[in-house]
Amino acid sequence: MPSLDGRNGDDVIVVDRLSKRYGDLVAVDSISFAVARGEVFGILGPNGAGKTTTLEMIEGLRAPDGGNVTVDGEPVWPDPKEVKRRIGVQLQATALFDYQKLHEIVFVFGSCYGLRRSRAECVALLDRVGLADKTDAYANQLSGGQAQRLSIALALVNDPVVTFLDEPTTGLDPRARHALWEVIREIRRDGTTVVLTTHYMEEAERLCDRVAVMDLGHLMALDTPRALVNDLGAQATIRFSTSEPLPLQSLCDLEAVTTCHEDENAGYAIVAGDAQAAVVSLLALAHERGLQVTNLDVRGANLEDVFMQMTGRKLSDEDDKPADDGSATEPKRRRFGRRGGSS
Amino acid sequence: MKTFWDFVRADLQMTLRNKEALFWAFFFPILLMGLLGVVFGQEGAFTAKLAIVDHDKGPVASTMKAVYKQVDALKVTEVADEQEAMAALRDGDYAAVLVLPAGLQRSWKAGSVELPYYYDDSSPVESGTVNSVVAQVARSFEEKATGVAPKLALRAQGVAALGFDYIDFLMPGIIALAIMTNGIYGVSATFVTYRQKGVLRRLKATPLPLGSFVSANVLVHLIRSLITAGLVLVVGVVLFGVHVTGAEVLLKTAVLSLIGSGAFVALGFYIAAIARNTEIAAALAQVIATPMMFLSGVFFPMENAPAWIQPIIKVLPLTYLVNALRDVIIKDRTLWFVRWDILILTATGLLFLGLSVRYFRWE
Repeated sequence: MPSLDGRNGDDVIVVDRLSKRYGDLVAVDSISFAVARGEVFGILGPNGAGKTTTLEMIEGLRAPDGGNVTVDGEPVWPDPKEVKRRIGVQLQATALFDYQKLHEIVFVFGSCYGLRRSRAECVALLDRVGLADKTDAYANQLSGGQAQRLSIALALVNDPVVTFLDEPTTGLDPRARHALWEVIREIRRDGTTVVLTTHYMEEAERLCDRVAVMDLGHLMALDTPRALVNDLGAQATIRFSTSEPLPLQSLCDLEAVTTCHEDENAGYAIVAGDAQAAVVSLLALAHERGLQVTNLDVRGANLEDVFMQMTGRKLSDEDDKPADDGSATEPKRRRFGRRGGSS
Repeated sequence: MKTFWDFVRADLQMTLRNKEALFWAFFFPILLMGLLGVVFGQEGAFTAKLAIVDHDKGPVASTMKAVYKQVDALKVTEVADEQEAMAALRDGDYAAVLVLPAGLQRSWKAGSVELPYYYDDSSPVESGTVNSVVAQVARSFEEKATGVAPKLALRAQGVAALGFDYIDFLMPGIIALAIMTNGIYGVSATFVTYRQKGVLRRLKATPLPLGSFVSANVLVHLIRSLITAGLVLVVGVVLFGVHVTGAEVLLKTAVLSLIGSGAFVALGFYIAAIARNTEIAAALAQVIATPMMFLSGVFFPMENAPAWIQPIIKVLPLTYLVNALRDVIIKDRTLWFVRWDILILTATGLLFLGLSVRYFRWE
């Protein structure tokens, strides 16, 4: 495993105190990390965390204001041409040429790297991302998931050392997302290093060997998903509904509880260091008030909780519906409401 | 270099597969030429009815009437009563009324002749033609009488002198119009879309210099203009019987089409450079292209347009392409003859190329 300071010999990317600001806004604030050859490396964070800017500085698309970055031993800046030759890039929300068939698009992108792929090679590449039956379709006839897979195929067209995927599954339905994960695992099995950004906790947990957690331009943590969760201690999330509403404060005062908020699906969610103690005191509270507790669900900690713990904010928009946003009370931590407003 | 040609091939392929683009680029100009040609170009369709009221009945008046009757573009009727002729003009039965006043014979000898002339200004196209033809005949009369050739010659005279046929006049205008549309709308829409959809950004992530992608696209637009010009020319000659003089007309048209296309492609790039999204680009293209479409003499001569509008006509680049193509195609002029038009178009192209390079954003 590579070390955090990136001194390991087989690091394919070494990022050293990289910074970028837009006017007064510091988008990326002097971050350093290294990516090992052959791993799936995730950059996790909410929108605006600086994930895309970081990626673009590594890809040679955006010049940093400070710091260095090398890819495959080559410094990216000041002239990123050589690095661009060795990497594959999938950008957020890229549409492609209308009226070009998929195999033609693959060919033309190969040509951008000075490669003249045969028809069979183009089809083989499309097959790798599960688009073999679409080789003669036009790009504008693809579904969202298929378009993403095409754009991943294009990120592989030059047999890159590293491929960068910027939020590859954003906007996809769960089935398309799972299919895409399989494609990404396949890429890794073929020996290509994958760097991806995501704001889906589950994606980072299930797909990535290591995860860098970013927020507001800072690197908050970097480790394997399991280690990140373990560092939290034995935190558990308890979700439940009650037959009648409870004041949130009474939940926060329960034994072993660290945070509590209203939850769309189950009414309430509380996070506790000692799940058993929390549940016992919850049931006692319910009994005392003559309430029914239903849909009781106890779950171990995950990356979502890691992020919450580190930043006091929720990570993904998915669990961040307006219904429960802003209504949480969190006595022990300052909360920055991303959508603002409180009930 | 191979990548450049790969993109040329891909762009051509996209053009050929996009039925809507094909229609507007290649068939619409022909359709427009055909429609206008049928409506205005039939024998006599551009002949205007002129009523002559002869109060003098002297030899000069008779000669004048005879000359006017010989003009193909006019259908001359003699009306005895001036009141009757004026009433008919107001009813739209005539396009114009020319009065040969009593005493014409005497004043002709005295050297000063003034002919009352009334025309219907509710139909500018028709009256424009009549006015110019009537004025021209009158001038030729004067020329004979005084032996002094007029110092200024309008371009419209050349057209009339070769036998005024509307389709002859129209075809070069249509070619110029198609070239302008292809450049202004085609290029601006293409590049703003590419930028908006992130295609330019995606290409920037490859080692390919974006210049080779852009130049491939420009080449394809030039090819499209050449094809359109060739198609309109061939269809014009074969189907609509346009009188083309001179064998090198194809070559000369090709040269002018390339230069004109270059100018309008550059203008299209400038629009793409300053427009933030496709809606703004389309609106800008509309604002720039529409005045040119109507004020550059594409459909009818602008010599008779009001004086205040002439300076506007002179700053529209399309005017120079229309004039140059018309000179070369129907008057068999040399490229040297239209060198000023070529120079102005080239300068326009370079100006907007410079502005585009300065202001174009890739993302």
